[in-house]
Amino acid sequence: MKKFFWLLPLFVLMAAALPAQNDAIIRFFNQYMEDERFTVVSVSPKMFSLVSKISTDDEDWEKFREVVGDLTGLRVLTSDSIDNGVALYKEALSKVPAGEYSELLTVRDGQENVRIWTKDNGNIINELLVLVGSPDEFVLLSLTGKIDLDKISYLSKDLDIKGAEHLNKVKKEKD
Amino acid sequence: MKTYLLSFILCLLGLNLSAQDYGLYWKYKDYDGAIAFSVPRWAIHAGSWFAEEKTERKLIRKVRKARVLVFEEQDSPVTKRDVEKFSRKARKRHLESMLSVREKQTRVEVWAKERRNKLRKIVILVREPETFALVSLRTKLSIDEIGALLKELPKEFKDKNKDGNSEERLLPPSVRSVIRI
Repeated sequence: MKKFFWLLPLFVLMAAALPAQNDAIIRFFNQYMEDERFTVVSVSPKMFSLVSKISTDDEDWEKFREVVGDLTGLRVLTSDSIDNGVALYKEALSKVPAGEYSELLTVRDGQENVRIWTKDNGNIINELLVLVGSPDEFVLLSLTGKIDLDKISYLSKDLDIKGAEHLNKVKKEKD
Repeated sequence: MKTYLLSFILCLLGLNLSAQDYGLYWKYKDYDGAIAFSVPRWAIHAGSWFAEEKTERKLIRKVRKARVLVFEEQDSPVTKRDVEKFSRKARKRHLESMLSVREKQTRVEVWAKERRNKLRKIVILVREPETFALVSLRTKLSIDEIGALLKELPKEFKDKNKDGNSEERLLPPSVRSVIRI
Protein backbone atom coordinates (compact mmCIF):
# COMPACT_ATOMS: atom_id res chain seq x y z
CA MET A 1 0.00 0.00 0.00
CA LYS A 2 2.87 2.32 0.96
CA LYS A 3 4.63 1.51 -2.33
CA PHE A 4 1.51 2.37 -4.27
CA PHE A 5 1.23 5.61 -2.35
CA TRP A 6 4.71 6.66 -3.55
CA LEU A 7 4.09 5.47 -7.09
CA LEU A 8 0.92 7.51 -7.50
CA PRO A 9 2.57 10.96 -7.73
CA LEU A 10 5.09 9.47 -10.16
CA PHE A 11 2.28 8.35 -12.50
CA VAL A 12 0.66 11.76 -12.19
CA LEU A 13 3.93 13.45 -13.14
CA MET A 14 4.44 11.08 -16.08
CA ALA A 15 0.94 11.72 -17.34
CA ALA A 16 1.55 15.46 -17.11
CA ALA A 17 4.88 15.20 -18.93
CA LEU A 18 3.52 13.28 -21.94
CA PRO A 19 1.24 15.95 -23.41
CA ALA A 20 3.77 18.62 -22.40
CA GLN A 21 6.05 17.49 -25.22
CA ASN A 22 3.48 18.19 -27.89
CA ASP A 23 2.55 21.39 -26.10
CA ALA A 24 5.75 22.96 -27.41
CA ILE A 25 4.33 22.93 -30.95
CA ILE A 26 0.91 24.12 -29.78
CA ARG A 27 2.58 26.93 -27.84
CA PHE A 28 4.53 27.89 -30.95
CA PHE A 29 1.28 28.08 -32.92
CA ASN A 30 -0.36 30.11 -30.16
CA GLN A 31 2.62 32.45 -29.89
CA TYR A 32 2.24 33.59 -33.50
CA MET A 33 -1.51 33.11 -33.89
CA GLU A 34 -2.27 36.80 -33.48
CA ASP A 35 0.83 38.01 -35.33
CA GLU A 36 -0.33 39.86 -38.43
CA ARG A 37 2.64 38.74 -40.48
CA PHE A 38 1.19 35.22 -40.46
CA THR A 39 -1.85 33.58 -41.93
CA VAL A 40 -3.45 31.04 -39.63
CA VAL A 41 -5.79 28.31 -40.82
CA SER A 42 -7.48 25.84 -38.56
CA VAL A 43 -9.77 23.07 -39.74
CA SER A 44 -11.72 21.26 -37.05
CA PRO A 45 -12.29 17.50 -36.72
CA LYS A 46 -16.00 18.12 -37.30
CA MET A 47 -15.27 19.62 -40.73
CA PHE A 48 -13.28 16.55 -41.72
CA SER A 49 -15.95 14.24 -40.37
CA LEU A 50 -18.66 16.13 -42.26
CA VAL A 51 -16.74 16.11 -45.53
CA SER A 52 -16.05 12.40 -45.16
CA LYS A 53 -19.78 11.70 -44.96
CA ILE A 54 -20.50 13.37 -48.29
CA SER A 55 -20.53 10.69 -50.89
CA THR A 56 -20.79 11.19 -54.64
CA ASP A 57 -20.02 9.01 -57.63
CA ASP A 58 -17.20 11.35 -58.61
CA GLU A 59 -13.97 9.36 -58.49
CA ASP A 60 -11.79 12.34 -57.49
CA TRP A 61 -14.11 13.34 -54.70
CA GLU A 62 -14.19 9.78 -53.38
CA LYS A 63 -10.37 9.74 -53.29
CA PHE A 64 -10.36 13.03 -51.45
CA ARG A 65 -13.04 11.75 -49.05
CA GLU A 66 -11.04 8.61 -48.34
CA VAL A 67 -8.02 10.68 -47.28
CA VAL A 68 -9.98 13.24 -45.34
CA GLY A 69 -12.13 10.64 -43.53
CA ASP A 70 -9.29 9.60 -41.26
CA LEU A 71 -8.08 13.09 -40.45
CA THR A 72 -8.95 14.87 -37.23
CA GLY A 73 -7.41 18.29 -37.60
CA LEU A 74 -5.29 20.67 -39.61
CA ARG A 75 -3.46 23.74 -38.41
CA VAL A 76 -1.34 25.92 -40.63
CA LEU A 77 0.78 28.90 -39.69
CA THR A 78 2.24 30.48 -42.76
CA SER A 79 3.81 33.66 -44.04
CA ASP A 80 5.34 34.47 -47.40
CA SER A 81 6.40 38.02 -46.72
CA ILE A 82 8.59 37.99 -43.65
CA ASP A 83 12.24 38.87 -43.29
CA ASN A 84 13.26 36.31 -40.68
CA GLY A 85 11.91 33.04 -42.08
CA VAL A 86 15.13 31.15 -41.40
CA ALA A 87 15.32 32.36 -37.79
CA LEU A 88 11.72 31.30 -37.24
CA TYR A 89 12.47 27.96 -38.88
CA LYS A 90 15.34 27.44 -36.42
CA GLU A 91 13.16 28.50 -33.50
CA ALA A 92 10.43 26.04 -34.46
CA LEU A 93 13.01 23.35 -35.15
CA SER A 94 14.35 23.64 -31.62
CA LYS A 95 10.84 23.16 -30.25
CA VAL A 96 10.07 19.90 -32.06
CA PRO A 97 10.51 17.13 -29.48
CA ALA A 98 12.97 14.81 -31.22
CA GLY A 99 11.99 11.82 -29.10
CA GLU A 100 8.37 12.09 -30.01
CA TYR A 101 8.58 12.71 -33.74
CA SER A 102 10.56 10.75 -36.28
CA GLU A 103 12.08 12.63 -39.16
CA LEU A 104 10.64 11.64 -42.51
CA LEU A 105 12.44 14.01 -44.80
CA THR A 106 14.86 16.90 -44.88
CA VAL A 107 15.40 19.03 -47.96
CA ARG A 108 17.71 21.98 -48.35
CA ASP A 109 17.32 23.63 -51.70
CA GLY A 110 19.27 26.86 -51.93
CA GLN A 111 18.00 28.92 -49.04
CA GLU A 112 14.85 26.89 -48.56
CA ASN A 113 14.73 24.36 -45.76
CA VAL A 114 12.01 21.76 -45.53
CA ARG A 115 11.59 19.19 -42.78
CA ILE A 116 8.79 16.73 -42.35
CA TRP A 117 8.23 14.65 -39.23
CA THR A 118 5.74 11.98 -38.35
CA LYS A 119 4.46 10.89 -34.99
CA ASP A 120 3.37 7.29 -34.95
CA ASN A 121 1.77 4.83 -32.68
CA GLY A 122 3.03 1.47 -33.92
CA ASN A 123 2.10 1.22 -37.58
CA ILE A 124 -0.29 4.13 -37.52
CA ILE A 125 0.90 7.67 -38.21
CA ASN A 126 -0.98 10.07 -35.95
CA GLU A 127 0.56 13.35 -36.91
CA LEU A 128 2.43 14.87 -39.80
CA LEU A 129 4.41 17.99 -39.08
CA VAL A 130 5.76 20.09 -41.94
CA LEU A 131 8.22 22.91 -41.31
CA VAL A 132 9.45 25.17 -44.10
CA GLY A 133 11.77 28.11 -43.76
CA SER A 134 13.45 30.37 -46.27
CA PRO A 135 14.51 34.03 -45.90
CA ASP A 136 11.04 35.28 -46.81
CA GLU A 137 8.80 32.27 -46.20
CA PHE A 138 7.76 30.26 -43.19
CA VAL A 139 5.30 27.38 -42.94
CA LEU A 140 4.35 25.23 -39.98
CA LEU A 141 1.66 22.69 -40.82
CA SER A 142 0.31 20.10 -38.46
CA LEU A 143 -2.04 17.42 -39.72
CA THR A 144 -3.52 14.98 -37.23
CA GLY A 145 -5.54 11.80 -37.56
CA LYS A 146 -4.87 8.43 -39.10
CA ILE A 147 -2.48 9.37 -41.87
CA ASP A 148 -1.66 7.30 -44.92
CA LEU A 149 1.54 8.67 -46.45
CA ASP A 150 0.67 7.25 -49.86
CA LYS A 151 -2.53 9.25 -49.99
CA ILE A 152 -1.65 12.41 -48.15
CA SER A 153 0.04 14.07 -51.12
CA TYR A 154 -3.39 14.03 -52.74
CA LEU A 155 -4.40 16.80 -50.37
CA SER A 156 -1.65 19.11 -51.58
CA LYS A 157 -3.55 19.96 -54.74
CA ASP A 158 -7.06 19.84 -53.34
CA LEU A 159 -6.59 21.84 -50.17
CA ASP A 160 -6.25 25.38 -51.39
CA ILE A 161 -4.27 26.44 -48.36
CA LYS A 162 -0.92 28.16 -48.50
CA GLY A 163 1.72 25.69 -47.36
CA ALA A 164 -0.32 22.56 -48.20
CA GLU A 165 1.68 22.18 -51.44
CA HIS A 166 4.59 20.95 -49.31
CA LEU A 167 2.58 17.79 -48.57
CA ASN A 168 3.46 16.76 -52.09
CA LYS A 169 7.03 16.25 -50.95
CA VAL A 170 5.89 13.33 -48.81
CA LYS A 171 5.02 11.35 -51.94
CA LYS A 172 8.22 12.29 -53.73
CA GLU A 173 10.19 11.08 -50.73
CA LYS A 174 8.28 7.78 -50.73
CA ASP A 175 8.92 7.28 -54.47
CA MET B 1 -55.61 30.81 -18.36
CA LYS B 2 -55.56 31.56 -22.08
CA THR B 3 -53.56 34.75 -21.46
CA TYR B 4 -51.00 32.86 -19.36
CA LEU B 5 -50.64 30.22 -22.02
CA LEU B 6 -50.29 32.84 -24.75
CA SER B 7 -47.68 34.85 -22.84
CA PHE B 8 -45.77 31.63 -22.12
CA ILE B 9 -45.71 30.75 -25.84
CA LEU B 10 -44.65 34.30 -26.72
CA CYS B 11 -41.84 34.12 -24.16
CA LEU B 12 -40.68 30.83 -25.66
CA LEU B 13 -40.81 32.30 -29.16
CA GLY B 14 -38.79 35.28 -28.01
CA LEU B 15 -36.18 33.01 -26.46
CA ASN B 16 -36.01 30.95 -29.60
CA LEU B 17 -35.59 34.01 -31.81
CA SER B 18 -32.78 35.50 -29.78
CA ALA B 19 -31.14 32.10 -29.50
CA GLN B 20 -30.80 31.68 -33.24
CA ASP B 21 -27.87 34.05 -33.55
CA TYR B 22 -26.59 33.77 -30.04
CA GLY B 23 -27.21 37.40 -29.22
CA LEU B 24 -25.05 39.16 -31.81
CA TYR B 25 -27.75 39.98 -34.34
CA TRP B 26 -30.25 41.17 -31.75
CA LYS B 27 -27.72 43.23 -29.87
CA TYR B 28 -26.46 45.18 -32.87
CA LYS B 29 -29.24 45.18 -35.44
CA ASP B 30 -30.46 48.65 -34.46
CA TYR B 31 -27.04 50.29 -34.21
CA ASP B 32 -26.14 53.23 -36.44
CA GLY B 33 -24.64 52.01 -39.68
CA ALA B 34 -25.83 48.46 -39.24
CA ILE B 35 -27.24 46.69 -42.25
CA ALA B 36 -29.43 44.06 -40.70
CA PHE B 37 -32.09 41.96 -42.26
CA SER B 38 -33.82 38.67 -41.88
CA VAL B 39 -35.10 36.79 -44.89
CA PRO B 40 -38.00 34.38 -44.38
CA ARG B 41 -38.35 31.14 -46.25
CA TRP B 42 -40.94 32.33 -48.78
CA ALA B 43 -38.71 35.24 -49.80
CA ILE B 44 -35.72 32.93 -50.18
CA HIS B 45 -37.80 30.62 -52.34
CA ALA B 46 -39.00 33.53 -54.47
CA GLY B 47 -35.45 34.85 -54.77
CA SER B 48 -34.17 31.46 -55.91
CA TRP B 49 -35.90 32.01 -59.27
CA PHE B 50 -33.31 34.68 -60.04
CA ALA B 51 -30.46 32.21 -59.67
CA GLU B 52 -29.01 31.40 -63.08
CA GLU B 53 -28.04 27.81 -62.42
CA LYS B 54 -30.18 24.93 -61.32
CA THR B 55 -27.69 23.88 -58.66
CA GLU B 56 -27.69 27.35 -57.15
CA ARG B 57 -31.49 27.36 -57.15
CA LYS B 58 -31.59 24.01 -55.39
CA LEU B 59 -29.07 25.14 -52.82
CA ILE B 60 -30.86 28.42 -52.10
CA ARG B 61 -34.17 26.61 -51.60
CA LYS B 62 -32.65 24.52 -48.83
CA VAL B 63 -32.25 27.63 -46.72
CA ARG B 64 -35.15 28.07 -44.35
CA LYS B 65 -34.18 31.42 -42.92
CA ALA B 66 -31.30 33.80 -43.43
CA ARG B 67 -30.14 36.54 -41.15
CA VAL B 68 -27.51 39.07 -42.08
CA LEU B 69 -25.77 41.74 -40.02
CA VAL B 70 -23.15 43.94 -41.64
CA PHE B 71 -21.13 46.93 -40.48
CA GLU B 72 -19.26 48.48 -43.37
CA GLU B 73 -16.63 51.21 -43.65
CA GLN B 74 -16.82 52.27 -40.04
CA ASP B 75 -15.43 51.01 -36.78
CA SER B 76 -17.47 47.97 -36.01
CA PRO B 77 -19.02 48.11 -32.54
CA VAL B 78 -18.79 44.32 -32.29
CA THR B 79 -16.02 43.61 -29.82
CA LYS B 80 -13.75 40.61 -29.36
CA ARG B 81 -15.66 39.92 -26.15
CA ASP B 82 -18.94 39.79 -28.08
CA VAL B 83 -17.49 37.21 -30.43
CA GLU B 84 -16.16 35.17 -27.52
CA LYS B 85 -19.59 35.29 -25.92
CA PHE B 86 -21.10 34.22 -29.26
CA SER B 87 -18.69 31.26 -29.40
CA ARG B 88 -19.57 30.17 -25.88
CA LYS B 89 -23.31 30.39 -26.51
CA ALA B 90 -22.97 28.69 -29.89
CA ARG B 91 -21.08 25.76 -28.39
CA LYS B 92 -23.73 25.37 -25.71
CA ARG B 93 -26.29 25.06 -28.47
CA HIS B 94 -24.33 22.39 -30.32
CA LEU B 95 -22.92 24.60 -33.04
CA GLU B 96 -19.40 23.50 -33.89
CA SER B 97 -16.52 25.44 -35.31
CA MET B 98 -15.69 24.10 -38.75
CA LEU B 99 -13.00 26.35 -40.02
CA SER B 100 -11.21 29.48 -39.00
CA VAL B 101 -8.84 31.58 -41.03
CA ARG B 102 -6.96 34.72 -40.10
CA GLU B 103 -4.98 36.68 -42.63
CA LYS B 104 -3.58 40.02 -41.52
CA GLN B 105 -6.56 41.68 -39.82
CA THR B 106 -9.22 39.63 -41.54
CA ARG B 107 -10.76 36.78 -39.61
CA VAL B 108 -13.24 34.31 -41.03
CA GLU B 109 -15.00 31.73 -38.92
CA VAL B 110 -17.42 29.10 -40.14
CA TRP B 111 -19.69 27.37 -37.65
CA ALA B 112 -22.24 24.67 -38.34
CA LYS B 113 -24.73 22.47 -36.59
CA GLU B 114 -25.35 18.98 -37.87
CA ARG B 115 -28.05 16.72 -36.54
CA ARG B 116 -29.28 13.42 -37.94
CA ASN B 117 -27.09 13.79 -41.04
CA LYS B 118 -28.54 17.17 -41.87
CA LEU B 119 -26.89 20.57 -41.74
CA ARG B 120 -29.30 22.55 -39.59
CA LYS B 121 -27.45 25.79 -39.27
CA ILE B 122 -24.47 27.56 -40.81
CA VAL B 123 -23.01 30.72 -39.36
CA ILE B 124 -20.26 32.69 -41.06
CA LEU B 125 -18.48 35.50 -39.24
CA VAL B 126 -16.13 37.87 -41.00
CA ARG B 127 -14.23 40.41 -38.94
CA GLU B 128 -11.99 43.22 -40.04
CA PRO B 129 -11.15 46.42 -38.17
CA GLU B 130 -13.68 48.39 -40.20
CA THR B 131 -16.03 45.66 -41.31
CA PHE B 132 -18.07 43.03 -39.60
CA ALA B 133 -20.40 40.54 -41.22
CA LEU B 134 -22.55 37.83 -39.74
CA VAL B 135 -24.47 35.50 -42.00
CA SER B 136 -26.64 32.99 -40.28
CA LEU B 137 -28.51 30.39 -42.29
CA ARG B 138 -31.06 27.96 -40.95
CA THR B 139 -31.03 25.05 -43.35
CA LYS B 140 -32.23 21.51 -43.73
CA LEU B 141 -29.56 20.29 -46.08
CA SER B 142 -28.92 16.58 -45.88
CA ILE B 143 -25.51 15.07 -46.44
CA ASP B 144 -26.86 13.23 -49.50
CA GLU B 145 -28.12 16.49 -50.94
CA ILE B 146 -24.72 18.10 -50.43
CA GLY B 147 -23.22 15.12 -52.26
CA ALA B 148 -25.64 15.55 -55.14
CA LEU B 149 -24.90 19.28 -55.30
CA LEU B 150 -21.17 18.67 -55.23
CA LYS B 151 -21.54 16.25 -58.10
CA GLU B 152 -23.13 18.99 -60.17
CA LEU B 153 -20.99 21.90 -59.00
CA PRO B 154 -17.56 20.84 -60.26
CA LYS B 155 -19.07 19.97 -63.66
CA GLU B 156 -20.52 23.46 -64.02
CA PHE B 157 -17.35 24.95 -62.62
CA LYS B 158 -15.23 23.04 -65.11
CA ASP B 159 -17.50 24.06 -67.98
CA LYS B 160 -17.17 27.70 -66.94
CA ASN B 161 -13.41 27.42 -66.84
CA LYS B 162 -12.88 25.46 -70.00
CA ASP B 163 -11.06 28.30 -71.73
CA GLY B 164 -9.18 29.52 -68.72
CA ASN B 165 -7.59 27.54 -65.96
CA SER B 166 -7.85 23.87 -66.82
CA GLU B 167 -6.81 22.78 -63.36
CA GLU B 168 -9.45 20.56 -61.84
CA ARG B 169 -10.72 21.66 -58.48
CA LEU B 170 -12.74 19.41 -56.26
CA LEU B 171 -13.93 21.95 -53.73
CA PRO B 172 -16.70 24.27 -54.89
CA PRO B 173 -15.66 27.88 -55.52
CA SER B 174 -17.57 29.16 -52.48
CA VAL B 175 -15.72 26.84 -50.10
CA ARG B 176 -12.41 27.54 -51.83
CA SER B 177 -12.84 31.29 -51.57
CA VAL B 178 -13.47 30.99 -47.82
CA ILE B 179 -10.34 28.85 -47.45
CA ARG B 180 -8.35 31.14 -49.74
CA ILE B 181 -9.03 34.32 -47.69
